[in-house]
Parts: sequence; C-alpha cells; structure tokens
Amino acid sequence: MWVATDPSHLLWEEWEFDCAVFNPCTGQTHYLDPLPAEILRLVCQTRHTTRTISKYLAAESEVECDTVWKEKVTSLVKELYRLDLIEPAN
Amino acid sequence: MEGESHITGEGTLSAGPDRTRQLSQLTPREEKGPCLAFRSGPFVIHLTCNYPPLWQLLKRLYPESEIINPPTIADIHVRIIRPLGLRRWWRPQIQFEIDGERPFEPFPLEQALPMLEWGTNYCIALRAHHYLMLHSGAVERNGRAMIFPAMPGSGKSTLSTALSFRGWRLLSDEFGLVQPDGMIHPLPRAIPLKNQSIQIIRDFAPDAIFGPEFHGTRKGTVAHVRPSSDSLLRQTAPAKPAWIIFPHYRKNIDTQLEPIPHSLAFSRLAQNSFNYSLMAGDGFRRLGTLVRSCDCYSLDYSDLDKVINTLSQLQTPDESTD
Repeated sequence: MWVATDPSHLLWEEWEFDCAVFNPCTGQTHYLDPLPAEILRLVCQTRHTTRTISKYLAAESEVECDTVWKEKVTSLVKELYRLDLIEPAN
Repeated sequence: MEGESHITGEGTLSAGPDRTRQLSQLTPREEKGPCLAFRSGPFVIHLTCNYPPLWQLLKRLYPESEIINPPTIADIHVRIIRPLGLRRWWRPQIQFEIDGERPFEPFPLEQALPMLEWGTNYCIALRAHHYLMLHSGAVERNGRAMIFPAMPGSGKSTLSTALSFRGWRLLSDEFGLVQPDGMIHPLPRAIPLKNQSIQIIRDFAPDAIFGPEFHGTRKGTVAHVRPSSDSLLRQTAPAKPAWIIFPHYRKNIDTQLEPIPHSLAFSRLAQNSFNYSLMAGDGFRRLGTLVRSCDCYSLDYSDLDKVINTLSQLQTPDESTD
C-alpha cells in the first residue's frame, strides 16, 4: 500500500502533456510524464496498492491491464518511491 | 560570507531636493572619492574608492544614475582599493572588498571598472534572494519585457545591447530579476561586451558610448557600453514579462525563431536561475507564474538587423490569444 509523502505540500505546475512537481521535503523539482503524474495524483488522493493503481489507470487509459502494463506501473511506482514522492503506508 | 541583511532592495528614491543629483553631476572633489552611494536598479550601492579614474568612468557610463545623498541604507557596500606598499610602484593592483572580505585576487590597476562590475554582480547573485534571479538579458517595449536566458557566450548581451539601440529599453544584460508579483525589475548596468562583440556593436550602433577597452582580462578584451538615458532614468520601473527567448548566436545562419513548450522553458529556466533551488517553493511558484504569462521560443541568429526585425514583430501573449 502506497501513500504520498507529503500530498498537501506538493506544488504542481501542469502543462498540456506533462507537469512539474516540487517536493518541499527534498527541495527537488521533478518533471513527470503523464503516466507517473497520474500515479502520483492517484496516490495523493488516497492510499493504493500497485495492483489497484494498475487496474484503475488501465481502465482510465483504455488499455489492457496485462503483465506488460503492470510491470510498467510497478516500475514507475518504484521510481516515485525512490524520489521520495510516495512511501509505503504504515 | 556574512551580511545578507545588507541587501534589502528597499533603498528608497527620495524626493528631497538634496537627493536628486545624478552621477553626471559629480563635483571635481567627488570625482576624487573616497565614497558615494548611488542607485543601480533596485539596489543602492555604497562605493568607497581611492582610485579617481574609476569615478570618472562611472560618471561617463552611468550619467543619469541617481546619487543617494546623504546615503540611506545601502544594499551593497563595496570598496575598490588601491593597496599601498612597494608593489604599487612597479605592478599596481586594485582590490575588491565586500563587507571587509576579499573574495577575489587583486586585478591590475587599470581593470578597476571590470572588477567593480563583476564584483557587484557577484554580490547581487549571492544575496538578492528576494528576487528570483535568472541569468539573462532583458529588454522592454510598451511595458512588456522580453527575457533572454542564456549561458555566457550565447550572445545575450550583444542581442540585448542591439535591441537597446532600436527602440527597446535595456532592463539588464545579465539579470532577470523576477519580483514576487511576477514583474521584471530593471538592473541597467554598463554592458560588458567581449572580444568580437565589441566591434559588432560599434558597427551596428555608431552612436553607442563605450568605456575603454580592457585587454587581457579573464574574459579576453572587454569594453562597456553605456546604457541609454531612458534605461538609467527608469531603473526603478518594472515591466510585465511577455516573451522568454533562449538565444543562441551562430555564425552565418538565418534567423530561426521556434516556439518551445512551456514545460521545456520551465526546466531550462530552473537550470539557468542563480537561486531557483535556494528559493524552494517560492522559486517554483514564481517560475511557474512567469512561464505561464509568456510565450516561449528558441532563437538561433546571426544577423542583428534580421533578428531584431523578427523579434519586433512578435505579438504579446494577450494579443495573440484574442
């Protein structure tokens, strides 16, 4: 289960396709493509497992929630964790 | 280095009769120093100097800059001192001091002006964190600012100078000072053209007033161009940003002006800024607001007349969305 590290303090700058997120906990600015941005938005709203994230975003994107998709989402979730944007829920 | 409290940006333009003199009105006695406070954009610089030729150069390059007399709270206290001692007779030097610290090695005496200019930029870049500071040239026309963020050597100073001789007001050749309200504050300083740019501007603007050429500086030959009277007289009048243009001078090419995505402009500006990281969330917000309010382009250019013609035809973002 994942939660955003500091969802109420993240700063967002959104453009047509991509966005930038400033994380005040680390002082870092991250430039996110649409899919990782959607994952972060989702986790900012409520806690999610990698499985529910994959499922929800597959439906939203109208793609099949197959192994390739799940691996892609899993990889992005790990990357967001590495960047201190999300963390495992207690 | 200590002394952040020294740079408040709040040096005031006072209306008192004894505070409205300009550097062009320096008396012969004042030209010998030793100290004076004067305006440079939003800052009041208090300069102590025992080398009279520097005062004469300041009078020539900043004639309309306001003398703050008696000195109010100065933002930057600089000393340009000719050291005493035996060396002064066989290899004279000049020393830059800020708050009693000497951040640089001494320069040859005749390079007092470049030393003052670089040293002052150094102080501003290190301290003026109430502004988001972009490393950029900036000019203004009809109240709207055009910003040229770029690394050294990309031609931003040459381009800013050229525009300032074709109806644009020079805001700065080095700093884009972004206020909390998103406006760009001027910082019109003598423009230090380097090497080939000197002759390019001499040919392009024969009326330009230059200081002396300084050879053998760490950046090669440098000559300073006097900002226009309009720039110096309106150096506390900010402008609303409209265009962000990343210039790149390339020899013998046609002018190419290409729109770039706001996201790319944002990331390039974040890297280009002197203090984006230091300003944290405030810097992020201020940069986001700036980029949103502007049209953003990449520019390759060679010919000054052609590039100025191209830039002068740009519509303001407000007009183009009508």
